[in-house]
Amino acid sequence: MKINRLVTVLLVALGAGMPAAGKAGNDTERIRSAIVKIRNVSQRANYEAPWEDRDFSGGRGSGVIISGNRILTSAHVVSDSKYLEIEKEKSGTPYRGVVSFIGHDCDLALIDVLDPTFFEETTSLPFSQEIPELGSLVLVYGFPSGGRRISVTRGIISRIDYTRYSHSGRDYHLILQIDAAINPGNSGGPVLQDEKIVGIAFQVVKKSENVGHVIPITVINHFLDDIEDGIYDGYPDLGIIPTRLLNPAYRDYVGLPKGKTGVVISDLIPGHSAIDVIHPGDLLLSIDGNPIRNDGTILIDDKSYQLEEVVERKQVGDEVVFRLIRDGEEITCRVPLKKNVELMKSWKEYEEKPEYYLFGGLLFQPLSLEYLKTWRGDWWNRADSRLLYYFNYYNRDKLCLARPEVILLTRILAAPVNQYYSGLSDLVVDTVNGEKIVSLASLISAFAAQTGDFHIIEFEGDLPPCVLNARRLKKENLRILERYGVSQDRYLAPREDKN
Amino acid sequence: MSYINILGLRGEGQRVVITSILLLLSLVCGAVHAQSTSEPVKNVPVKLYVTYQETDYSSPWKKKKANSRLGYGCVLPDRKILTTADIVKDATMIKVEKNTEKKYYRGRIEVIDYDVDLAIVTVDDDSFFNDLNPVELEERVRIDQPVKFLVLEESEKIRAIPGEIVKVSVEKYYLSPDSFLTYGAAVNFEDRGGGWSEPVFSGGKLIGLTMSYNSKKQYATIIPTSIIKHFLDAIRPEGYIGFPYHGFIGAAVRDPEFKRYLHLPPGVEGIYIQSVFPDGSADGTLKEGDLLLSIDGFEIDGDGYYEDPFWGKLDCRDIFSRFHYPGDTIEVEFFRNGAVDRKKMRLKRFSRSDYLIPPYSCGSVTEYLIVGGLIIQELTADYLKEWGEKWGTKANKKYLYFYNYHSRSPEPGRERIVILNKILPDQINLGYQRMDELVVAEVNGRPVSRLEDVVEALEQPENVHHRFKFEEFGRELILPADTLSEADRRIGEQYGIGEMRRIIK
Repeated sequence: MKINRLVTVLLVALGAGMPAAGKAGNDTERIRSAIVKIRNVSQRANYEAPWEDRDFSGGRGSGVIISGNRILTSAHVVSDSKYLEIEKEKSGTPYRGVVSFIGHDCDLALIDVLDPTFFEETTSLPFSQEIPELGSLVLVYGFPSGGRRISVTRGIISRIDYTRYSHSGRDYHLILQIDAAINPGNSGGPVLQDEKIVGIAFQVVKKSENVGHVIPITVINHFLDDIEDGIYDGYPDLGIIPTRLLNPAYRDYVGLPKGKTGVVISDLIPGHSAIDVIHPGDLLLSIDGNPIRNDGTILIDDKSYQLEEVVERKQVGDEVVFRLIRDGEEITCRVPLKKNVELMKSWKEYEEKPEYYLFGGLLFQPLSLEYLKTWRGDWWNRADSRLLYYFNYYNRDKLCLARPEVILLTRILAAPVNQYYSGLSDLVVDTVNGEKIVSLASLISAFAAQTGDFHIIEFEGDLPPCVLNARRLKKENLRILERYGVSQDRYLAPREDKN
Repeated sequence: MSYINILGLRGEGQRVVITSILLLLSLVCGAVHAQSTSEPVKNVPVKLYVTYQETDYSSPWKKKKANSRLGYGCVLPDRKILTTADIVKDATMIKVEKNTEKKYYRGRIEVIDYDVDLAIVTVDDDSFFNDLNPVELEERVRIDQPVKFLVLEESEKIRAIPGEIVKVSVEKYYLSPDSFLTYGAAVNFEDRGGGWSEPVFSGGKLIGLTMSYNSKKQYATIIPTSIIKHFLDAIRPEGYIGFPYHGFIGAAVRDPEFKRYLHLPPGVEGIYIQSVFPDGSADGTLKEGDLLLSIDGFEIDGDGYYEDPFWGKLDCRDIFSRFHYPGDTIEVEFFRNGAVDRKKMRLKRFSRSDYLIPPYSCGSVTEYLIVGGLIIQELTADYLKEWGEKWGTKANKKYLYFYNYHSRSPEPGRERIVILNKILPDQINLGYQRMDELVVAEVNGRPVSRLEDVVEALEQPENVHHRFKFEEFGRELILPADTLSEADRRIGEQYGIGEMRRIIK
């Protein structure tokens, strides 16, 4: 309601559409030989019928050849890929590509082309290690829709800022804003200055003219460093909820020493790095030696950033050092950065298969953004208010403590054994056979452990329990799966991070 | 599991007034349907011109723009004028007019019950009632019975719009989330005359007052005379005692497995008691997990219906509200732990003050507290409605969740949801000004269950500070105790707020 959403649009070309913006600038043959066209056939997961995928769809984007015969592009150009084709401007022969690394949170991916002949008569472009100056000129290369041949547009860097990366919507990173005309199909294409890559074009701001977003070199470097060990871990998060100390009464109350600045910690997010190290009430004074100001910002190279920027530049396995006041004493606290463990998937998911368990026609799924999006349109208003509360207040109201995974009875595939309950949908499962449900796995084992006559499912709120005949359910289960064409009764993602 | 008393969302747009005049058509229809003359209801209805003003719940020290509405009323014995509560709610002035005299009389509300949407208005000037005969009430109306909706034209001529009763059932009422006996009628109000609450007659007797009209479906709901009579009987010398409320949530039981699970003997039918409201009528009598078999001698079927001798199957909630008064004791029969048992149940009124989130605020003072610029109040349905027409989806998601799923469930430690609405910017609240729509958990370390708790807690600052703690992320907000009253004075002046707090003890 009071949130102003900046609506960004990704630049994959879906079918035919926009007019070409292709006016060749001062590019050379050499640069052009580094730009590739990418065609992706993708298949999205279906959160309404999680045992099957949705229909195929095709998308098109651009990419750039970088050192080591690798192609860098945007993650959204190649996500959920079932089949990938890479084409050079000149050859006209498509090559089979394979995604080697993909980072959905930073919207970057690397592609390998298995046939080494692809790289004949191509070149790789180097990276510029500088963030370009505001107002400086850049060139955008790519294959936007509207024509078959390469397009080059020219623009200036109009802003350098943080924004949400809309592909996963998971977090905010630095972007370069440019005023060059960029269009669907430009996604993944390089943005060059002095023939060096300064970024990758990836999204535009809806309803505003000539505002294109470019992934800057800092984010690209983070991605490339991350995958050096062969695994993409993503950005670690501190998971701290700081409260700013702008009010003098608050500073006085927390006992901030004269001449010092900082923020107070209100809460910590379970599953993130700081949870066991930083405490609520801690007064953070500095992060890695950078004094934290009362508004929660720090200065790096004379530029103001949120204090999380320090973490933004680090990898899983690194650490962050805080000076803080706890119980009146100033201490140093080291926070090792760990890969986030998040059980409420509050971002757009790709590649992942939806988790579910189907038993006796009753479909159980964890609450997630992807599930809420099955309401379509303005799902954030239209979805059931119970689910929206559990989703939006999962951390804010500490709902995560009682239900690390919020397991829903999403719907019922009608069968004689469940006929009296066929109208139930979108309820939060509280207990199964008396066992508190904290995860999909705990639900499955609560069903499996039952030896009595009935399965009893209780829901959150004033609702009657669901009582099912255990023997009949077991007997009819297979038949229900067959009748509805469900090949697997469950999918649980491997839990590598859970120890 | 169909019989679940979950509070439904209800938009405000149910009443549609169409002013286009198709008099000829309706007169023709009237001739076809007319069965009895309109003679006995000569001076019915009277007109009520109501000027009203609602509170601005998002700025609770303010009132919204004054507005007016027209409704109809019927004269009853003892100088009473019967109308619906929604016609006179939030009234600042009521003018009453009869069709025999071109003159306005000053009316005032004598009794109002928002739950059953009924009110008694009286006129202190006796001469108003001189030439008006009280209407007779008729409780028995059959399905398919033709009825007349009476309206007064501009010329003060009475016009009878013909309709037909098509449904008798227990439905949610206009303001209250509770359900009472309701008639449904097929009627075409194309020429409605601009007023609401049309009295409905059959055979020269009043059978009810119009509660709502859906122009698309050409369907009106009517508050039946049985409810009106009950309302009138509840006006006692000691004051109005209201309607009793059953105080439980029941669910239909059809599933044979569920019956087997309850060890229910064959042939025993009833509804499953899912929840019992603390301090309500059923508290101490029924328990969660009981199967309610009969109420006051009426057997309940598995879907929650009983057999009314006149109308047939009706929702069993009707037994409480139509046949009984608060204070009555009735017998209920239930199945618990494998055996049938009976118990007495003393009926109580369930007022909106027993709700975690009161369903309507009209008729009561909207309490609030402004301290250091923080506007603190109790969450009500009317507050949610300030989100606009689509409040049922657009309002704060936490509030909506509690409203939709837990609005009746006050607990010992949480009688109401006390919220920080927003903050009026001032130097004292520097740095907090973007905080809004948060639930107040504690003030100065004391848990908050009602707005009064905030007032009390503010009397005992923690050393030299006041500390507000919110549920969301446990965030805190600190105000200095010494300069607070000075700031409040400044904020009151700056924002033109007369009263910085309105609290009824």
